[in-house]
Amino acid sequence: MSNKRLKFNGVTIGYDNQTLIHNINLDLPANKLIGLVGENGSGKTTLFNTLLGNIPSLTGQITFNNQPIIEVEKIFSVVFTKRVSIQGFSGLDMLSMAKITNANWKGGISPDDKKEIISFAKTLVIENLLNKQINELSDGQYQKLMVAKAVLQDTPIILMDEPTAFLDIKNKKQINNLLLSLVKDQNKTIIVSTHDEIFCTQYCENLMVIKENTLTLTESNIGLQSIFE
Amino acid sequence: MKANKTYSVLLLILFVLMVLSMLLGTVYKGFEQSFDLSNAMTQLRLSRTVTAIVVGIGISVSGLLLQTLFRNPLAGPSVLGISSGATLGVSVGLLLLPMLGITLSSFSVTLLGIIGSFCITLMLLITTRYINNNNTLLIIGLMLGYFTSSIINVLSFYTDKSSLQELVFWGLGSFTKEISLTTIGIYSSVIILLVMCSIVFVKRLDLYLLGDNYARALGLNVKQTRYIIILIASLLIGLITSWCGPIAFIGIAVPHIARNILKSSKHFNVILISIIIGAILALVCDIISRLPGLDQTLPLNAVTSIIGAPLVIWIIFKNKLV
Repeated sequence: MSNKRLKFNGVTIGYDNQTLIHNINLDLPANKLIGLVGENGSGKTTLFNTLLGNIPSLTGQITFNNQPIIEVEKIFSVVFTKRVSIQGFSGLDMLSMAKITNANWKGGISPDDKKEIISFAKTLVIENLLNKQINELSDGQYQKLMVAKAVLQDTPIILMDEPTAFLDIKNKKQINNLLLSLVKDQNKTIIVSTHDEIFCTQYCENLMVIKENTLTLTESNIGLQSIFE
Repeated sequence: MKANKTYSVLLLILFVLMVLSMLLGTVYKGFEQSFDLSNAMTQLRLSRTVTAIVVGIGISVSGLLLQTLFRNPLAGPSVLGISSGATLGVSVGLLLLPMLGITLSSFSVTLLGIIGSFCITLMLLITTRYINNNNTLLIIGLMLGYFTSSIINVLSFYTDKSSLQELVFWGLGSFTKEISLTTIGIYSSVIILLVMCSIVFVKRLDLYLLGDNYARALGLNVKQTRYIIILIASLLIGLITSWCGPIAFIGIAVPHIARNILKSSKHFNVILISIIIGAILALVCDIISRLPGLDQTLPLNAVTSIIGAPLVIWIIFKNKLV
């Protein structure tokens, strides 16, 4: 999966009455941690929704490995900002959802998948969350769990919509380091929508910048200040 | 296995209640006569027992489906206006048509109830095309409920005393509306079929719980799943409501009890446990409503509310839903 790339060929995104980003032509490098930056309302979340097929692109085509994207769940996994609250749902239940496409009709996962989940949870030192109810987790614990779920879904690309927006400095650092190690050790491509300057300059290799209705790819070392001022 | 033990205990309780339901009534006829099928009273009790079990199962599963649909533990069959739709259909059969000189059989009235709930469901399905938000759908359902209720009020205002009385009695709920075992058999098969349909979709229901965004990203067709849930739930509620009246509280309470016993929301087990507990709770309510020593049977909805309402409040506090 390592060098398959996400390509935008003349893609325009937005809604019928409002175009947000015009004519994107982009060949995204693989195995990188990429920051997606832009002002509020510039189209970051809409871009994710377009990638996930929730809203159609207005023009052009998005391809992965030169194929149109049909089974979204095999290419992208996602982490959103907002918490979901489910009564009676343990950390293990949540991580199992990453393997739901392989599950039997009752929604039960195979013993092999369960083994994989538990051993991965141990690697991330979150095995203590497996038996806890997700509604009882702290924001930091919850977001680590969701990152783990995204990784376990075993997709080449992970999309994250401001995953650390509600976290304190310590948890932010832990998650950011985790993302870096995933890019290095597991050959993931991770696109993170963010407003966090430190994250962009210290962790990301590239930035996707949305400015004045255009999307461009830049090196991360130029800094957010010079882009937006 | 702990799960197997739970199933065994619950099934045992259900069996004991079934026997009790055959034995107990305003008169006690002894053990042997109570199970002699040539006896008219036995047939009556059998039809009542079967009705209670099937209706308890159906209403509980519909309650669970609605709680999943809205991802809201306080949803139940009376939300969405589906029960009201069924009530409107039945009112047309019991109030409006007799005014025009048309009297219907109870089977036709039931059919009208199903048509009523189905019309409301169709309206909801049309609105879901334009709405992606569950809370908006919930509010529209409530408004549809108010709308139909006011039509019923207008009908009741112009109707004669005896028709009105009939509607009021129907509204109290009862497991003895139909005594023909053939009719009960037909209704029951439809309900069991619908319950089996919802069991087939447990994996989708689990995914749906994650919320639209995560569910979609895991490949779930959210809109289609919403259609399926609304369709199954409304058919169940329409049929049950027009058959036995709007049964209160069982639909909202049972899924909670099931989740509390299992400490899990995974639908496969929650549906199975809800089925057993739904049957148990309906039987308990029915047995209480005709305890020996009472000359008449109590209104079913009074009993289900007296047991159900405190149960729901207790669950809310216990799960810190406030």
